[in-house]
Formats: sequence, structure tokens, C-alpha cells
Amino acid sequence: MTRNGRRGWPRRRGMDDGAGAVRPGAAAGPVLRAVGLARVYGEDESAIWAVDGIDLDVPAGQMLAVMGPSGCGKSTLLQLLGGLDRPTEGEVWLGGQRIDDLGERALARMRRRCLGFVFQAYHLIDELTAAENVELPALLAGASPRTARHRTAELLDRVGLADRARHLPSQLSGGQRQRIAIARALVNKPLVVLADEPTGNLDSAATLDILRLFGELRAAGQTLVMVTHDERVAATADRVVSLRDGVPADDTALDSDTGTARLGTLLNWEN
Amino acid sequence: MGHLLLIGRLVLRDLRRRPGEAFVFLLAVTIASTSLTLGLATGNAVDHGYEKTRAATAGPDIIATTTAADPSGVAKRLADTPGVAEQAAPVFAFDTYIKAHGKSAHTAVEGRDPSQDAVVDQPLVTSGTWVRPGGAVLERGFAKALGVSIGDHVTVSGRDYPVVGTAISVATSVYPWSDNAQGPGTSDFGGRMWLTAADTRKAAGDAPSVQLIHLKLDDPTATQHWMDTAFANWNESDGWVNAHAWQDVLQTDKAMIRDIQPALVVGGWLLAVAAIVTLVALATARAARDNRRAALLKAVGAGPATITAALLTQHLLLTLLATAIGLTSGTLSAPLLVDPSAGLLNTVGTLDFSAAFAAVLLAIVVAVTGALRPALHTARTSTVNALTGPAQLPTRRPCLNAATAYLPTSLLLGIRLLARRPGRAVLAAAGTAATTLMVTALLTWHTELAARPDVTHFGPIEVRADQTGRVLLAVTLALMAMSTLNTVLLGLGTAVQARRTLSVARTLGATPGQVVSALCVAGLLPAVPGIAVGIPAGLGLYWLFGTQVTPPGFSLLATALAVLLAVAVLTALPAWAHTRSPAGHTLNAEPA
Amino acid sequence: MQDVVLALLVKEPLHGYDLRKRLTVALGPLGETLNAGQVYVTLTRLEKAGLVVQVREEAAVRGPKRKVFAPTAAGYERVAAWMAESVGPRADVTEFHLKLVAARESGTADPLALVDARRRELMSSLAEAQRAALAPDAGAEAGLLLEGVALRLRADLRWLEACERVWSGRTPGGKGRGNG
Repeated sequence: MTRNGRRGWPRRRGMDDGAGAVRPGAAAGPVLRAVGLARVYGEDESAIWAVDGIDLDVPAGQMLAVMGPSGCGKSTLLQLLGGLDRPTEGEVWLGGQRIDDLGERALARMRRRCLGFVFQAYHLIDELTAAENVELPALLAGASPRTARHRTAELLDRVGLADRARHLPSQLSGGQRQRIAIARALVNKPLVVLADEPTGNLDSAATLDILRLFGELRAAGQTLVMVTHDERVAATADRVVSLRDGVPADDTALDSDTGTARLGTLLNWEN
Repeated sequence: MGHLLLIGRLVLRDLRRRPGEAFVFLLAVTIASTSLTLGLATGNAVDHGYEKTRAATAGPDIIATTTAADPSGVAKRLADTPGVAEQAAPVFAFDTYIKAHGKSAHTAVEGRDPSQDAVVDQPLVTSGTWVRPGGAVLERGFAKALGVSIGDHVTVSGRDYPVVGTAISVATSVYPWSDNAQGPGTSDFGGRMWLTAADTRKAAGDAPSVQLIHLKLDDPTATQHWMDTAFANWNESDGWVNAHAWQDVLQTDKAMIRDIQPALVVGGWLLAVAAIVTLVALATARAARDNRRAALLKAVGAGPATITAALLTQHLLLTLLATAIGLTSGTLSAPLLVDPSAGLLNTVGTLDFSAAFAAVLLAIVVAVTGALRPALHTARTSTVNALTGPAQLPTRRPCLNAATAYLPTSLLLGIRLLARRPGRAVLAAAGTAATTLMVTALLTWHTELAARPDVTHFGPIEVRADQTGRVLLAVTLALMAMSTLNTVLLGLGTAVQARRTLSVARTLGATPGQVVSALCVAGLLPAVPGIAVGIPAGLGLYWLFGTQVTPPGFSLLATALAVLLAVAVLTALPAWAHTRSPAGHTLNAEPA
Repeated sequence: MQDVVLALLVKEPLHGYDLRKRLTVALGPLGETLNAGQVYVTLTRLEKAGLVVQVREEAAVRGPKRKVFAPTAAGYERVAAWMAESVGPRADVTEFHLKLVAARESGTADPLALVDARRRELMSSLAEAQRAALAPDAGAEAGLLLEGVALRLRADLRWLEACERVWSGRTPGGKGRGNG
């Protein structure tokens, strides 16, 4: 895969890009916050508490991995955080604004300005070319076509797919599609990127590619919440929350400064 | 046997699980085949009614009218012309107005001998009795138009006669073309009634009268040749004689349906188009299900033949049932429609071969259209792909992509969605065109009606105009109902297939409004060419069969706008329903 | 092996035969390779190291008399230390499994706490491996090694999930665990 020509990520800016009152300064408390979040599917006896009372604070710039076996409620949690679904109980706060009680139209506005989504199934729009897919959120958010094109070219260059701009998603590999999806998630410079099993459909090489991309985002200070069932993906995060039956069972911060001290002991030189 | 059992079971299960779908299907095909049968059977029905009545009343081949006071000379000369098989005694008749229920109507009064049946043209009594002294018999259609029944009284020349019966005859055309007692000069519309010969002469008094001579020829087809021979050396001194043949009578009878037949035939084909659109829309809505079912059958070892048979059987069964209902109801109702004046024997005609052929052709086209696609699809794709893969991959259209790249987002999405299903766009356009065509024809007809001189608004001509109006309206309403159904079905199909795309657009921050307008664009764009074709086609067809009248431009424009608005509203509904639920739901339902 | 045997004696003094029976239950079919001699050798070594003492002799139904052993004070200390320390990055499945069994039997540690600690440990190792794999200077050969390491660690982590499910069901009061 070509990654020549990819430039470094700029540090994300705070309030200086004029996106309105929703955007807080990077240091002002958690960017994303869930309070007593719960979501029930079904009713009465057959009711399933997919998410059963989660309190979660995601500070700005953190890369958080939500882990757990399938059916533990992690995808539901992500959808609640992104306003794609409505909680049965509890609150979601994004950038200091409560979003779980917004109407569909206001939610749409909030999503286009403050959130970027990356899905396991890519969810690119099949009818649009790669570049058009990336441009779409910018255009929806009211950017001028010129600005949108400019920003798209920049992002496609950064994900290493500048030469695939005019291809339809069906003509791209899985890894390429996911990189397009990530570029699309970033086009509006969102407060938080939400990724649902971003590497679920990818092989090892493509997975590493996506994880490198996430690493660069993290270095640039992008807040990122991803849901995964793959420990190898979660291990690249700053913090891992394990969900068990809709509740967090474990919340571990991963130290990123240990080098390879632990790995060294694996080699067992003394034998 | 095993295959039959399997196919039967599959068909039954599907019908039981989706009765609504089967019903819509049945209804659409029934409406189309009824209308088609009706259109094609009407001409036949008139012929048939005429034949029956002619046989029952010893109908004449030649009807001669003379003003001579003593018709014996004329009668003898006619009788002497070679080729005459039988000749009835001249009938005294005069032209007058009768009063009934306070209404006045133009009519011929014929004097008949109740004691003896005429050898040619003995009217068939359909209710009551034949004429007797002091008792009148009215032609059935005339009586119906006047609203007179047995026991009522009519006034002729100041004398009051009780109506003792109604009768029919083919010596004249059906009401309002049945006043045969008018002398030289222009003839008016009018009815026909009978009295005894004595009563007639008494009633006529000094009024101008005529003598009617009814003849049967050896060769009923050679009427023109016979008339040429008989009247070759006729001159003024021989007296005024007017003669016409049975073909003229039938021709005039058919004038009754002259206006409604094109409406029915054209309407029938348009309804057939609408039915096919409905069917394909249904098939699209169930394409995913059918594809999956076909793949499942394939996975358990069914061959392409079995799969096609299972799919085809279901469609064919329903279509054949619908066609049978349509053919029956069309044939049964044709006489009612073509003979509103009740002047002919009301019998059910035999099934017209061309009508049956057209209806069965329609049925087969419809059934095959519905079953072929999933069957072909299954045969072509591998089992695994059919079970897991999406129904269709978008095709590349670089030109379109380039051309639409600079449009506003909603428009761009709408056009791309549309381009992905060009077949559906064509269907939607065809459906809209059919409806617009019929609405335009109805509009033109009303314009013509309004533009006619006031005189023609009254009297017997209204019978025909009403009938045409009713048929046009019925066909138009049926078409509009089916178009509504089609638009909703196509809209739903589009919404279902575009659901993922639109959900993704929503996660990216597209508002419900933008999503609805994208779907509306996808629905409206094909409607525009549909309307553009429908209006001129409607005018053209009307001009072809009727008079060249053009409705005012503003009303045509209003029609176009109304159709567009209707399409927009109908497409917006499923889209709007889509935006009611949170954006994540659809993504969840999608297989990852 | 010594640690496991020692921990099993914490709950109650046992003789070699019972110890072997206990181990066979924990190991299942894998325990068939464990012969009686190995247990006695281990007990003898522990006795020499002053970690266990013979507390009495029991008369068997048949055969020789059985020596019943119990840990000394140094033995108890050794068990507590063993429970507190990590099993190490290269520990295999059997080793950790026996440690969990011994912890439950002796009541000296909460198996779930051991599982949690182990998970953090493995997760940190995995994080290191992944970071190394993502580093731009990771060559193809090293990348292959790192992928193997990561896959092994992931397998261990998945097994820990199964351990957690099973042990949380066994430990009294282990059901209603609070949020981590």
C-alpha cells in the first residue's frame, strides 16, 4: 500500500475554527459524556437491556476502546453516543451540550458538525465516487463546493488514496474503502470520531494500516471512541473499557511508554 | 409428483403469508383485463344484439318510406323488382309529439294490425301486450328515456292512450334515431310508438303522413345492388320514396358506441400498462425475498427449472384467475354498456376471439414479467452470492457522475439513486404517462362538451354524451387509482432499496428534509417525461377518435402540476416514514 | 508444581493420594499423565525445604500407611507470595489454571482478582506488541514475529474471558460484581 506523500496530521484546533458554541476548548472537561445510559429492546418479559446503566467520560484527545463479546451492548452504546439511537434512560452530553433529547433535525445538524462515523461495513454510499463520499458531509454541513473539494483532496492524500478519488466504492478493496470512510468521518473536523468495529472486515495488513491511521489521528489530538471485539485493536488505545452484559466490567488505562520491556521477557534469553 | 407437491406447497404458503399482495395483484390484472375485454367486446356486442333482435322480429333488409297517400303503386313496383323474398303490407305512420309525465317528445307513430303478425318487421313485445284499440306500445328505449312504464298514459294529438306494452324492432335504429315517419327534409331525433291502424289514422287527422314498406331480400347482403336496380328509373311523378338498408340501421346503432369504444380500447391498453407497472413494482418490492427464496431452493438442490416453475406457477395462477374474472365480467357487462337505450335484445355475446387473445396475452406477459427476473437472477448468480450478496451492484456511469457532480446534495443523491434503477424510472414514467394521457382526454372531452352549441345540450343526444362521459370517467378513475398504487409501490421500493444509502447520509448529518427531498427527486424526475409524453398523446388520441379540440393551456398546465404534486406527495410519504425512526435502526437491520 | 501442592495443603492437611486425586479432578484427562510418584517427590522436596511437615499417619484400607502433610509458617508465607506475584509473560494455560484452582481451594486469593490482574498484564504486553508492529521501522520479518506474539496474547485474553465467566459463577458472592 502506498503511503508516500502522506503528511503529518496537524494538532487539532480548539474554538478557533468558528464552529459555534458547541465546541469547547480541548481542556474543558470530557468531550463526550454518558450518564446512567440505558437502552432496552422489546417490552416486559422479553425486554433486553442491551445497555444497562453506563457512566462514561471521554476526555478530549483520548482514544478509547470499548471491548466485549458480541451481544454485550457495545454497538448499541456507540449508536447512543452518536445520536443514532435514543436511550431508554440516561443522558448523553457532547461538547457540553445534551444531545439525547434533540429532535431528528437538530441531531442531524449536530452529527454533521461534531461527529464522524466509521463502520465495520464501511457504509459508503454506493452511488457516489470515493471523493463524493468524502465531500458529502461537508456539503451537507453547508461548505462551499470549492472548500469541500479542497478539503477532500487533502484528506484523500492523507489516507493515501488520492489516485482513487474517482472510483466507486465497489471498485475499491476493503481496506481502501475503510480509509475512504475515515477520510469522510474527518472532513468536518469532528469533535469525536466514533468507530464501530472499524477493522472487523479487514485482513491483518489492512487492519494494521487502519490502526496506523488511528495512531496518527491520536497523535494529532483527535478524540476517538471505537468499539471492537479484537483485543489487538483495543490494545492500541489509551484506555480500554470492557462491557459485560450491558455494564462496564473493567476500565483499564494502557501505559504507552513501556517500550518493549515486557516483550523482552518473552524471548527468555537465559535458556 | 414430488415437484408438484413442493411447488404447490410453496405457492400456498406464500399466498397465505401475503394475502394483501396477492389481492393487489389480482385486482390490478382484473381491472386491466376487464377493461380490455370490454373495449374489444363492445363492437361485437352490438352486432350480436342486432342479429338476435333481427331474427326475433323478422327484421327487414330494406325499409322504404313514401309520402304517397296510396302506397300500392310504390309497393307493387318494389315487389316486382327482382330479388325480393318477402314484403310486408305498407304501414301507415306519422310524425308527431307525444306528452308523457308533462314532458314532450318527438316520435313516429305507426299503425299496426293487432290481429295479424307482419311478415317483415313484427316488433317483439318485451313487456305487456301488443297494441289493441285504445292502447299504445312504446319502443323500449324510448319508453326508458321518457320514464314511461306499462299503465302510464301518453297523449297523442290530444287523445289519451294507456301504455299497454313495450317492444323492440330493428326496422329503425335504437332511440334516439328511431323516428322513421318524417317526410322530406331534415330529420330529427325521435322515438317510435305503435297504435292500431285505426287509432293511428284517427290520431293523424290531417297531419302529413307516410307509408312504411318493409322488405326482405333473397340475398340480404346485396342491398345496395337491389336499391340501385329498384330506383334506377325513378322520377318525381312516381312519388317521394326514401329507402335505406339494414346495414345503415346497424351503422347508426353502432354510433352509440362510436365515442366510448376508443375510450375503452385505449383505456384498456393503458390500464394494462398500469397493471404491468403495478406488477413489476410488486415484483421489485419482493425481489429480495424472491431472490433469497430461489437461492434457498437452489441450496437444497432444486434446479433452475424447478425454481422458475415455482415462481411462475404462483404468478400464472393469480394472473389466469384475474384474466378469467376480467373476461367474464367484461363480456357480461358489454351489452349493458353498448345499449343504454335498450333498443336491442340484451343478450350476452359470445367471447370475442381477439378480446380473449389480448387478455390471455396480457396475462402471460404479466406473469412472465413477474417471475422471470428472480428466476434469471438465480440461474445466473452463485448460491452463496444470492444468499448473502446485495441484489444488484451499482453500475458505473462516469458521464452521469461527471454531469451531476456539481448539483446540490439532495438532487445529486436523488439522481444517483434513480440512475441505479433505470428500469424503475421507465416504469414510473410509463405509469405517469398513462394517467396523464387519460386525464388529458377527459379534460379535452369536457372542453368539447362545453364548446358545443347550447341546443345539443338538451334532448336525446345527452344519452350518448352521458355514456361517453361515464366511460371516460370510469377509465380515468381506474387508471388514477392504479397509478396511485403504482406510485406508492414504486416509492416504497425505492425507499426500501435506498434505505441504507439514506441512513448513511443521515449518520453524516443529512436532515430528514434533505432525505425526503432526495427521494422526491428520485420520484419526480421520471414523472416529468411521463407528463410530457402523456399530455400530447392524450390530445393526439382524442383528435384521432374524436374532434380536434384543445383544452385551454392553463388547464393543461394545471393538470401537469396536479399530477406532479400527486407524485411528489405519494413519494414523500414512504420517505417521511423512513425519517421518523432514529438513523441507527436501519443500519442495525442491515447484515454487516 | 511445588506452589500448587503447597497451596492445596493450605485448606486442610492431606496425604499424597488425596493430593493426586484433587489434582486429577482439576486437570481432567490431562491429569492422567501425572503419576503418583511425582506428587510424592514434590512433597519430599517441600518437606526438605521446610515448607511442609508431616502431621500424622493414617492407616489405609490396603497397602502402606499414608503420611498426612500440612504447611509450615514458611509454607504459608510462600503461598501468599505466590498468589501475589504474576505468573509471568510466558506462563502457559495449565499453570494459570492450577493457580486459579489452588486459589479457590486454599481461599488465599480471589480467582477473579487473579484473572483481572492477568488480563491487565496481557493487555499491556499486547499493547507493546501492537505499538511495535505499528512502528514505521517494523520490518517484514519482525512484523511476522509480532503478529504471532499478538495472536498468542489475544488467545490468552479470550481464554481469560471464559475463566472469568466460569469463576464468577463459582465464587461465593462473586455474582454481583461492581463496576470495574
